[in-house]
Amino acid sequence: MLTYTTYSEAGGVGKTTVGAALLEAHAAHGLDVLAIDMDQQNGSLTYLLDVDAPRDDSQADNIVRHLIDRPKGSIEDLVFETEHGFDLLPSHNMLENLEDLLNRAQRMADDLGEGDEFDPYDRLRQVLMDAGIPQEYDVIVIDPPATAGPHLYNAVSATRSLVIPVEPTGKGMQSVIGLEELVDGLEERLEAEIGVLSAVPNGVGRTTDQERYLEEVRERGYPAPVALRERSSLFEGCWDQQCTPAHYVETHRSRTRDHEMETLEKIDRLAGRIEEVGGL
Amino acid sequence: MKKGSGSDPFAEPEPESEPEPDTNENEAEEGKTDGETEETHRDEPEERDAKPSSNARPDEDEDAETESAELETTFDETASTDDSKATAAEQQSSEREAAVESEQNSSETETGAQTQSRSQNAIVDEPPQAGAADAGVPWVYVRDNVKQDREMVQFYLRDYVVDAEDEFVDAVSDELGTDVSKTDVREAAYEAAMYNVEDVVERLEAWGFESRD
Repeated sequence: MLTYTTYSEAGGVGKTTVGAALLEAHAAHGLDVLAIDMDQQNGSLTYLLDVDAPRDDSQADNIVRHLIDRPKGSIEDLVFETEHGFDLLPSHNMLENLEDLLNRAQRMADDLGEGDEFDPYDRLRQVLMDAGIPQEYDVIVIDPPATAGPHLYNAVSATRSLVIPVEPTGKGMQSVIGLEELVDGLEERLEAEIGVLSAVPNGVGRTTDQERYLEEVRERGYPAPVALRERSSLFEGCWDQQCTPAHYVETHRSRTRDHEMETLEKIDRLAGRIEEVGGL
Repeated sequence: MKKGSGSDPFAEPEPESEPEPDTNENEAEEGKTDGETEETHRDEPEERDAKPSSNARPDEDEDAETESAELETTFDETASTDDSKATAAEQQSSEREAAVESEQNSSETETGAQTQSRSQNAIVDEPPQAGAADAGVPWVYVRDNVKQDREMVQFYLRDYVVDAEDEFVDAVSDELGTDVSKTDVREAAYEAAMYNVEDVVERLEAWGFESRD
């Protein structure tokens, strides 16, 4: 079983787009894949994949209701089949208040004398395990928002592994340096061993720079099989058309562009490598 | 941290035991805090301890348990001193054992047709938001802050009532077993009073209001 969280400290480094491409690649490799969208913002995986989930309807069952132990149905019923070969547990606006809701649920559990069993940062893992979700999939990928908080903690606690898109700028490299600290902090907080499956330099300008960044990332001890060149046209096209990169190239490009195919191949290679490192 | 995948999140047998070596490493660095956390809140992430609100939790729980007996007494005392003062002393000893609710009921039967008015005149509607009994998420969990959905209303209170408010809120919090804001207590008290017209009337009479007939 392969589980990971796509994480990057900074927004806007194509975390969700790269994530969607990886999901698609895992599915293309014949694996049963579930994506879980923990990002409450509009630019989330759920939007990108154009999944028509009732994210505004607070009365509708959603992932948060399960996390605070007030579900309205089974979690399987929340899962959407995307047209890209993998399943999605979509985002919901209630995620905006996750921290508050978890705190209150904790208080209620405390009041009922069940506080010890309620761990607000380990709820997602509990919920998935109780529903038998891990048995149904080969790969589970969680996309949390970029900020530290209960979304990220729940995601990491449920996956214990990270794939980290990195911006290959001075600032981006700083965030790689800060990564170790972050992961240590997460390990301490979640009392679990966290692994980094891959760092993915994304948006590299020149080919020579790619190699330099890869070297730098690898020197710091992170697996980094590929670096992705700057592909704003492709990635922005995905958001415009609300689809995955491979689907975009196939459906919305009148002609094949070699550099885009190269990027897709790299992502496919990255997915394969992650599967390997993850023990699939 | 390690290269490659982390521990298996869905490995059934005690996932907490896996990171033990890590915890030991951390203990070497900051043994004191870790040791403490290990003993008191084994399976709680540390961050929660840092937060003031959650930090207060475990203590409060203990309080709720250990002091629950005491609380009833204080609650009874305030109730009875405020209430019918003459009969209070006699009632107190027998009623102290009884639950708060039954105490209220017994004093109510003395004063009049309380139960009747409660069931017959539903002056106030059920709250519009989902309640704890509904399948929905209760209102306190859904709202963003205590003022949400609430209209500000000015109350004019005499000092002795204002002075008693904090103690009132504390007593309610103690009885409830969790902290509750003054705003919530005020509304709940007002709503409760709407089910207890007789009590309100009695108080007004004590202030000197006289019936016309």
